[in-house]
Amino acid sequence: MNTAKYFPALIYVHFFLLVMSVLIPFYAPFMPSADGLLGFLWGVLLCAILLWLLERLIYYAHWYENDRRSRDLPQYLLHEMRAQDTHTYARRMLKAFNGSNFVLLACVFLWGLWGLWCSYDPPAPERLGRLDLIILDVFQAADADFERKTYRFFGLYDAALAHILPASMIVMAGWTAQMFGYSHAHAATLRWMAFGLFACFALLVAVLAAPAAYGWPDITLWRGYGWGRHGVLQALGMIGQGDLSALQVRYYETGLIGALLAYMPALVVAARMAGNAFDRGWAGRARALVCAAVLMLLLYADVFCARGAWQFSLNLSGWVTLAFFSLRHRQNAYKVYRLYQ
Amino acid sequence: MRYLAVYSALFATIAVTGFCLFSVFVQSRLVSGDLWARHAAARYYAAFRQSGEEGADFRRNALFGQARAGLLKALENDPYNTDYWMRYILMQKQYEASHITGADVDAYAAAAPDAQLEQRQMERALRITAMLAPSVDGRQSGFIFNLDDARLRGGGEGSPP
Repeated sequence: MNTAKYFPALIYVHFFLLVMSVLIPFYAPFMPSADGLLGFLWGVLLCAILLWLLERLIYYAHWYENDRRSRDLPQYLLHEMRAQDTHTYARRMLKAFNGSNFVLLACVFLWGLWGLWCSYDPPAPERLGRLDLIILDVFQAADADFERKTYRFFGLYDAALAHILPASMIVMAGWTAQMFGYSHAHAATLRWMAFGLFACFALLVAVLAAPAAYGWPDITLWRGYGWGRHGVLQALGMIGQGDLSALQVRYYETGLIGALLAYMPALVVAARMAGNAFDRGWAGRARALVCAAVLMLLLYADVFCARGAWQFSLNLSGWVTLAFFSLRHRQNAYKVYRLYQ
Repeated sequence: MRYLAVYSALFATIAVTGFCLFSVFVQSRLVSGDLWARHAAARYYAAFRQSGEEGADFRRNALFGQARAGLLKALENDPYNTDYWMRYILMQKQYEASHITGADVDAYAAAAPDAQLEQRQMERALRITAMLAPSVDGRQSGFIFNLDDARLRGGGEGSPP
């Protein structure tokens, strides 16, 4: 493929994947292989962008320097201009590797580690422990080869799949959106499309989402009962009944620390947004306003609405919108040809 | 190294992509449980269709046993699933009934060598179901498949219910 078309084509692939990812939870509420396949496609897209970036930054320049002697002048000039264009995209794309993005990544990583630690050896309350013992007795009586000591009631892999995979998809989608946003003017289309998707899901939530049932027993649960366990705790009557919000589920599963860690990325984006509002004039303030509105809606859905299939779609479209609107600055670079200097 | 951040991002992305690919090919425990439960329901259904021929009783009992074993596998994969525990109780009851057709249950329990063990299993399963879902009373008909289906009552396909 022509290198000038390769990068814009990736933007359309990004949009296609974004639409697929936000729609699939409505068709398949639980289908790990479908989520895995989508995550894989996001990973391939990000790998393609990063490899392209490395090629533009390092190998392409090196190769071209060696090759220039063998070309005639018009051909050399045309090639140089085309190369300059794509090289400029790559240089601007490097802005997506800034400090605040790495802090965001570190927050998500910490949240994932904390969740895994909570799920690896979760504390079993007395009632749940009793239930576990009876279940083990049934299995042992029915199957002589049953390994009572090594049996796990929850697969750690399942827990990781259900929680880390969606988070990775949001991170990959957001980061690629930032790279496009910094580097290419065509990304403006993608930005408004992502915003449109988010607006659609926000409307859907406003119309369809049921309010969460609140009944906090206590807020001193520092370490949670592990990912995927809120269902059994609810069945045993140990936690609040009714529809739970995402925040409540997170609190029961990963404790207060997990619930706070999950809000850290939002705080980082809010800080970056505040910086934009004070540094970048009216355009920065307008973007900060959009970011604030998106963050408030995400927070409202997280705290007050009962969990549903729309949660992942709303978060994905919301974080991609945030990634576009929280860019520090995007300047059009002017072409400067070294030959004429 | 000048582009260390880009290289680190590339390696991290490759790792995450590998994890995603792994999740496509490796089956989660909940899906395994669901597949085992479907297998058990198919055996259970097939057991009801055995009738009239020579050796039908033997085949029926074997199919009930396979259905029960399949459901235990489903439970080992998804131990807190109340639906599976309910099905297990129903299958256990059916398994008993297939052995003691027309006889007194208590007399069978006293006579059969494994009957007490079976009885204890049943009590445990009922206790688990009561703990997990106190509102379920265990008397639902058609829990595994529709027992009012005409085909199961020997009416044949297409016959009126």
